[in-house]
Amino acid sequence: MAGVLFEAVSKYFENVKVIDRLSFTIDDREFVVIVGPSGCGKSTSLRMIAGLETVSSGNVYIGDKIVNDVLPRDRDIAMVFQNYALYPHMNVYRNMAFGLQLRKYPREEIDRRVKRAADILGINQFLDRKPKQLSGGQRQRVAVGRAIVREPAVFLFDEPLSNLDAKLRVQMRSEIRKLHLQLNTTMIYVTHDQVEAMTMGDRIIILKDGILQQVGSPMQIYRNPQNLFVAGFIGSPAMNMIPGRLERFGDSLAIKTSVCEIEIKPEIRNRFKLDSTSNVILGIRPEDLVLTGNDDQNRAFGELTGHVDLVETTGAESMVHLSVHEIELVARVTSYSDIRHGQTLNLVFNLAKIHLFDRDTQESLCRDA
Amino acid sequence: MHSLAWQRRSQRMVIHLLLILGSGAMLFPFLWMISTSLKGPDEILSDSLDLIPSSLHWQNYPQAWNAQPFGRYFLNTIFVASVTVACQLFFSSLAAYAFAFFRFPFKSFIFIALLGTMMIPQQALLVPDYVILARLHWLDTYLALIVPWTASVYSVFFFRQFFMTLPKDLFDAAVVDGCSYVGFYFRILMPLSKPPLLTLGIFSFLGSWNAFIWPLIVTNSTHLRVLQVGLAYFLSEAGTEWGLLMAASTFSIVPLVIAYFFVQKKFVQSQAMTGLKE
Repeated sequence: MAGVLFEAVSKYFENVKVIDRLSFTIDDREFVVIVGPSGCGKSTSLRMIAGLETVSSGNVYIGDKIVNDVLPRDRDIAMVFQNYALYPHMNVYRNMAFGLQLRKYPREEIDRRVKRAADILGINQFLDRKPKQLSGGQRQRVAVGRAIVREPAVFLFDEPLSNLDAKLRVQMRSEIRKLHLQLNTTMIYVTHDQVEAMTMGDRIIILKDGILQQVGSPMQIYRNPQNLFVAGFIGSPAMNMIPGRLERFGDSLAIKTSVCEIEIKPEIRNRFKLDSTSNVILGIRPEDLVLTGNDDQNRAFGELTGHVDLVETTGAESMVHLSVHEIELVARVTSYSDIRHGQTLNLVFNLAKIHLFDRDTQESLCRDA
Repeated sequence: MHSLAWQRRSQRMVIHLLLILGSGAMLFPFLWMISTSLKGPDEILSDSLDLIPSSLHWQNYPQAWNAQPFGRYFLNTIFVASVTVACQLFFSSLAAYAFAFFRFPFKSFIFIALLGTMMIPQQALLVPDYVILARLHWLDTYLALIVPWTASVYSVFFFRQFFMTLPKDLFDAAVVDGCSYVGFYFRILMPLSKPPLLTLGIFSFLGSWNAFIWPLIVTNSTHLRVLQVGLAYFLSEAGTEWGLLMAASTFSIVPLVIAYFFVQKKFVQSQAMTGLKE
C-alpha cells in the first residue's frame, strides 16, 4: 500500500512542455481520477508514475521513496491499458500469470492468485481462451485481472473503458469502483470523460495544457469550480456562462448582462470577492435556471423571457435549449413538463447558486473556491 | 438477372484465362528444362521445338550427378542457406525492434540512410566487399559465403513495418509486467512475428540457394562449392553439355519444390497477412 506524490514535476517532449510544475498528493488507498481534455498531459502523468516516461524535472514519489530512476518493474505498480494490451499468443491464464512467472513466483502461488482474480472478475470459464476469442468487456476484465494478480501497491488505469460500448462502460465503471472497495488499494484512473470522473473518484485532479486546474472531491469541484475552464468542463450539460458588468449604486450592487439585471443582496454578495472587479462572467448550472411557468405577458420582477430552440429528453429529465436575445442557455427540467420547440418561456436564476468569474483572469470570485 | 449472371461468369472466364496464360509462362521454362534433361545431344541441338523427347535419355541424370561431387554441393548449399537465414532473421529483427520500439538520437536519419543503401546495385559492391574479405583472410572459407548475408536492409524494413502494426501498449504492458527489453523480444515479439519470419525466411533461403556470382568469386576450393557454382561446370568454352546441365538443374531444384509443397499454404497466408493488424 502506498500513496503517490508529485513534487513540481515537469515533462518536456523534445522542446515542448507537456506538464508544467505539477504538484499533487494521492493518499494511500484513495481512488483518484485524473481528468482533462485530450492533450492535457493526464496520460503522460500516469505514465510517469508507471515509469514508462522519464521525469524532466521534479520528483515522483511512490510511498515515501523517490522513483524517478526506478524501473517500472520495481515500482510495485500495475497498469490497465486502453486497448487492453493482452498478449495475443497467450491464453487468459498465461496472460494473467506472465508477470508472476517473470518474478519467479512458485507455481502454486501463481495458480492461487490467478484463480482468485478470475473468481473476483467472473472470468473462470475463459482461462483457456486466447484474447481474440473474447468480447471487449471480457478482454478488459482479463486486463484488470492481470493487474490484480500482481497485488501491487498502486493500480494505474489509462482510459480503460473508452473502447467499450455505452452500456458496458457503465457496468464496468461500477465494477471497478467495487473492486477498489474490495481490494482497498490506491487506484489512479485517467479519463477524458467527466462523467466517469464524477462517478468514480474519491477525488478528482483536473488538468489543462499540462497545468493543474483544481483538485477536490467531485461535489466540491461541481459546487465551487475554481475557474471558468473547470466550470465548463465538469457537469453535463455545461454551466451557462453570461458575460456581464458589476455596477455599484451606493451600497447596492447589481450585475448587468445583456439578458437581465440582477441585484446582488448582501447575503449573496458576502460569498464573493468583488472589490476591484467590474467585468465578470455570470455562471449558472442548468438545474439552477428555474422555469416559472408564466408566459410572456405576466412577467414578474427578475424574470427573463426565452425562446425554446430545442428540447432534449433523456427520460427522467429534459434539457431545454433557450435563446434569450443572443445568449444561448440550457435549463434542466423534469420530463413531465410539457415544453415544446418554438414556445416562449419565463425563467429566473436561483440566486443562491450563481457563480461569478473574473472575465480577465478567468478565476472564480467565490470565496470558497 | 440473366445478364448479371452472365456478366459475372464472363468476368470469371477472363480472369481464369489470364491466370492460365500467366502460369503457362511461368511453367514453360521448367517444362523445357525437364524435357531437355531427357533429350540426347543431337535432338537438343536440332531445330525441333518438341516438348516430348523422341527417346528418353535417363542416363543424363547419373552422368550429371557423377560429373561433380554434387552430394557435397548439396550439403554446402543447405548449410550456407540455413545459417544465412537463421542469422539474417535474428539480426534483422533485432535492428527492426530498435527502430520500431525505441527512441534514440538520429533514428530516422539512420533508418533512411539504411534504406538508401538498397539503391546501390549489388554489382557495384562486389569489389569492395571482396577487398574487405581478403583483408580479413576470409576468402575461400564458409565465413565468406555466410557473413556478408547475415543482415539485410530489406528484412529490417519488412520487420519494422510489421512491428509498427503491433500496439505500443503491448511493449509497455510487458515492461510493467517485469519483462526486460530482451525478454520482450523473445517472449512476446518473436512469437507474434511468425508471418514476417516465414516470409523473409523463404525469401532469404531462396536467395541463398540461388546465389551464384558471390560464391563463385569468393571460393576456389571444390569442397566449399555450392550448387549453382557446380552447375556452371557444364558450361565450358568447348561447348555446353545441355543435357547434363538441365539434368543437374532439375535435381538442384527438387528440395525447394518439395519444401514449397509443405509450406505453400502458410507461405501464401503469410504474404496476405503481413500487412494486417489483428
